[in-house]
Amino acid sequence: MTYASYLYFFAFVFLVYMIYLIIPVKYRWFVLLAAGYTFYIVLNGFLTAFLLVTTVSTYFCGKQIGKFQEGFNAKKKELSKEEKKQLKAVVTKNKKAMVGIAVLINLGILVFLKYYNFFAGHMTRFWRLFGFSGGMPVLKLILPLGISYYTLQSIGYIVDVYRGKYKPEQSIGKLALFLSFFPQMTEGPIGRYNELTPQLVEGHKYNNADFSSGVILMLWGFFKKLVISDRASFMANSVFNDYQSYSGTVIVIAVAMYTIQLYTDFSGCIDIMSGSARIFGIKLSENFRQPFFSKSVAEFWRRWHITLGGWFKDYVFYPVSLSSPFMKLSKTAQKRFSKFFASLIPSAAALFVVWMGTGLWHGASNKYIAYGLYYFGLILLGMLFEPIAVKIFNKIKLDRKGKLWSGVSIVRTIILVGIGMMMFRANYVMDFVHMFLRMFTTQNPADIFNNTVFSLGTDKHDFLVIFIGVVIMLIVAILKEKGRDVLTTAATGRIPLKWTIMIGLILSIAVLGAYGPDYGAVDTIYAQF
Amino acid sequence: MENEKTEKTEISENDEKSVNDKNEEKAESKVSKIWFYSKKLIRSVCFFLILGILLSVIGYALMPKNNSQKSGMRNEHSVGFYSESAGSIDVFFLGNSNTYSAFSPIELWREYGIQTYTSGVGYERVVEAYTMVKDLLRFHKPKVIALETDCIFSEKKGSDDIGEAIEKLVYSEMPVLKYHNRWKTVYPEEMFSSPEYTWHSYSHGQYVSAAVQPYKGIRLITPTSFVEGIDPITLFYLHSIVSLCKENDIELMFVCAPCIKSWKYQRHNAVQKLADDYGLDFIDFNLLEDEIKFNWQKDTRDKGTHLNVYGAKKVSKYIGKYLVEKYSLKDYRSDKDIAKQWQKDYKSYLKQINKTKQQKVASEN
Repeated sequence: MTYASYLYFFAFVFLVYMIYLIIPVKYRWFVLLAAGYTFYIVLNGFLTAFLLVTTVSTYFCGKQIGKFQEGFNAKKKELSKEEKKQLKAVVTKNKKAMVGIAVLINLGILVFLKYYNFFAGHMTRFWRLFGFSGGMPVLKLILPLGISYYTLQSIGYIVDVYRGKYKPEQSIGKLALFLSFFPQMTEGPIGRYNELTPQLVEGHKYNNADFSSGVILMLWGFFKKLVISDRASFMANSVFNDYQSYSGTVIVIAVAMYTIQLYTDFSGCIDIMSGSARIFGIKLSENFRQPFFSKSVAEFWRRWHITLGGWFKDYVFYPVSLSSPFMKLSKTAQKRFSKFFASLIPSAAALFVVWMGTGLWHGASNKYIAYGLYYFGLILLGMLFEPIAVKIFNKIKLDRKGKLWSGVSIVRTIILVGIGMMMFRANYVMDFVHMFLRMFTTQNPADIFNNTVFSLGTDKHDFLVIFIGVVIMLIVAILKEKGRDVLTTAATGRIPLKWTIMIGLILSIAVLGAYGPDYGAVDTIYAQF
Repeated sequence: MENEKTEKTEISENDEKSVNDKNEEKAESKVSKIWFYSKKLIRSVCFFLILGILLSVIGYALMPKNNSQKSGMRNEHSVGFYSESAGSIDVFFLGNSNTYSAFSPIELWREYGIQTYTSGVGYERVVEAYTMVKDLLRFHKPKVIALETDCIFSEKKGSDDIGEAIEKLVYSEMPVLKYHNRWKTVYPEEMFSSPEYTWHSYSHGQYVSAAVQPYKGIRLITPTSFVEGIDPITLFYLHSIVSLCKENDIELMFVCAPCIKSWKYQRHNAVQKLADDYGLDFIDFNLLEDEIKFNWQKDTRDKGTHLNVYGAKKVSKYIGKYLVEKYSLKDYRSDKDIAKQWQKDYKSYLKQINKTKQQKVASEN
């Protein structure tokens, strides 16, 4: 990716928007569909076939589920209670089979392309433990862009249709648009059919507020990505790739840098994408809600990558908890354990599945599994100690919602999340372990003053820019937490304020952005998943 | 780009009024529509004007005020001609790293007394050569520009030519983007001072290295009638260079330095065809290696990628003769002031040769 690609994206959005405005309102969604496929084909070439397979299979399975349901609805009035029950069982079975086919095809493609080599490697190693030679071959697989995102969207759609949440889409074009809307093709947010499709299809007139806030949101995203994230990436890369050479102090700073890098990279790109959608009058789902103000890791995950957490809750956690083996587990637990554990055990088991899934979703690697399990462990511990915590707080009469404890909780959460980030960025699980230990064994605060910290690709000036950038983001976040969205206010406000913000952002990106001959382009992190 | 509350409210008010009123309103709304759009247009223009002014001001503040690396200039040897006395350079060699390794103004001076400059930039593309021509015209009015043709063909696989061209053009047109990172080093007092170019390149742009690392391989030249394609963006800027030279009465010629790694016969054919189309001279040293006694064992400093001073001497001797005969360039050796400066530069040149020779020996030990 070169910096020109940002210019392309800007140009692409505005070109598509021009065409969008020229076409009659009724047909405007065609423009979005054509734009989505153009975008995808340009970036991905023949791999677009995978997207087409997903679209077509999702469409037909969805439609078939609808037909089964309609058939049942038409017949059910004439039937007796008993017959109805029987027919319902048959229909449900058929519907389930359709869901099964859709999930098998789509998840199958994703799992095969993304995880085959990982599991094949593990299998081969396991195989060789017993003295066998050979093993599963390593294949050269390419992952189509955005497959981890649109596959989840398609599964969400199919499951919702199965559950009767909405009727299946009758137009394959509209379903294709839902799965290929270009702003969310590369890194989400993972959209829901019933929220997104009506907006995509209805066609919007030019609206000044939408246009301005879209542009400002895009600029804000570019600011986060180019001014803060790419700058922070240099130090994070130097330290994570060669941690043995640095003291614990440097490692702590690098972890903080990486946390800043990842947040500004991911949320910045989401802002660029949401901004470009907003220009068309389309609101994408919120993906971040000031995550670093969370008081627990569970809350953090409700505020960070919201659409992924939401997806796992609706399409993994609930189905798993309500599945028959889990119901059985729950019943057994109720018989054998106290009330507390009886409710804890089944939900812990379901959470385990969710966090394994979340970890693996990020990639086929042990460290991502460890990452998922880390959060599972933290959340489980939180659940286990909750009754004790309540007792303690009552005894010492500390208000858990008071300012003091909230502050402590936020700091604690940030530290725990930081450790998670370290695991996420470390090249291997063992690297993480070594780095973690180094933080306690090799502290050397002098590194801050003897220029070591500033010689790792992020100099004093860069630190200053990152610091100021983070402070600006913090102010915006605090205001948003209080219900005041500065960016939208600026977009709908008077010209002097709006222009100051726009020009201010453009100038800071132009001057302070980490682009050009002195820097290499940094790929966005979440586009690889 | 700019704002106006939506017209929706106007329209909904219209619905409630009588038909007569409506017609009047229609006429009125036509006027107001024109007013609405012109207001919008004016606002957009104002927005971009303010933005443009601010970008230019910041760009000026960050622009290097001298032509040395120390003052923030990139590739100082490629712009050393800024400080040469105005109009003194008769020949410019432009191109990528092959250029600054193969053409030696010092040798050309010693042999023929002509004043030349080698302005090469590593990985240069034609679009940059074009902006370099525009740049050098600010200071000099050369008789000849020799464009080294390796820059016509990009070696990078899957490189994005349009993107690269846009990026490089934008950089050359907008100093604020090219020099934006100088906010870290710029002194407040130099921000708004006027530029003064004083840095002098003793080698007149040549990369002086006496290191010898032989090329390990065989030189194959297999004639073919195939012609390699040139991408449209590059062709466009080649055409622009041709026109720019024509407008300024500059003789343009193509020259290809000895190049064992990326040269191909089909590239030679492509350039030859281009030269024929434009009626330009083309010298390809890859076909003259025997004539100039070029030796890939001795004349390269890095195993065949670039020439060293020995290779450059051979190439310069040949091209100098050609230039003098063809374009009747003036011999300045009798001008004492000019000769004095060249003599001084020659001493630095020899010093650098000795230094790089020793480096080579040291590294071998």
